[in-house]
Amino acid sequence: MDDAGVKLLLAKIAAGCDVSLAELYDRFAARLYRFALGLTGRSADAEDAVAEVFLALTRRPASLSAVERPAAYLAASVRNAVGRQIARREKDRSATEQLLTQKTETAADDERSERLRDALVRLPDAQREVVAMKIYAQLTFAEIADVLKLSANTAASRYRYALEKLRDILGEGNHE
Amino acid sequence: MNDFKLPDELATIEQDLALALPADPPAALRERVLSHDPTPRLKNGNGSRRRFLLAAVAATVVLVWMNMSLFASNSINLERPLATTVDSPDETESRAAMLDELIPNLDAKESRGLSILCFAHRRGTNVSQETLIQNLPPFH
Repeated sequence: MDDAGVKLLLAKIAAGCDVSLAELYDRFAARLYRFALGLTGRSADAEDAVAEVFLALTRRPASLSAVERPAAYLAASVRNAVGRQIARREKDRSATEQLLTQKTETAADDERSERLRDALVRLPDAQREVVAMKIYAQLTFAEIADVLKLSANTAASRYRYALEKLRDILGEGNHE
Repeated sequence: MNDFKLPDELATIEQDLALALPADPPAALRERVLSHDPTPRLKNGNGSRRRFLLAAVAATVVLVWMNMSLFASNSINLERPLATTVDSPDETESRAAMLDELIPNLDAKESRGLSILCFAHRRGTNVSQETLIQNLPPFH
């Protein structure tokens, strides 16, 4: 399904069509969930962020007609939802507790995956965000640039630096 | 996946990252979205936590209810002769004799009844006819 097809789904959702909501969910939920999980590291937060975004689509139908890049729009919405969650949590507890819980719930439990997730958490926020958008939300660099208000070249460079940083972090682990 | 070519080692990291997270969100999330349920998962809690909270609330309600029932049953029930509200036969007879002297023409039963009423009045309680009969000391 191309952007035009997704925009048609959004228009139907704006008209109150739950079947279209289900179709959009089936198309985007997995990548948005993984994107949110990549940002937060907590499955409960990822679920809440994704649910918030899809439910907002049904509540703000007027805004959907202006969406140009649906995938980027949805990823940006998830990013904003995660940002609100983090802000709420920072009010509730210390940053140390947050860091401790960040390294918890995910699925693949082999050692390599565990190390990768730990390494991802250690990336600077801006780099982790680009990695999560590229790999988990499956956005193009043009779409990432759209969300982050950057040039596509800057987004691509940031992504490459992030992967290099991950390689270095994983390399540190090998030498310990 | 990329818009440009990555060196092999970075491409491997990229592929491993893609495998490091679960492929799909939980099925419950789909139900939640399609049922338009706005309740955050943490507020929903997992099933066991929610059941625990419900059980705790139910237990509290039952305990409060039992406590109130116990309190009510321990209150002075004037319809039954509690030990603390029963006058002793000697005191009843002694008061009845005094009442006999003060009020002429009382028979024995009337003076005993008045004696018990005086006792009850002194304790600040009301006494029904049944309680009066139950509390009457045996005639000698």
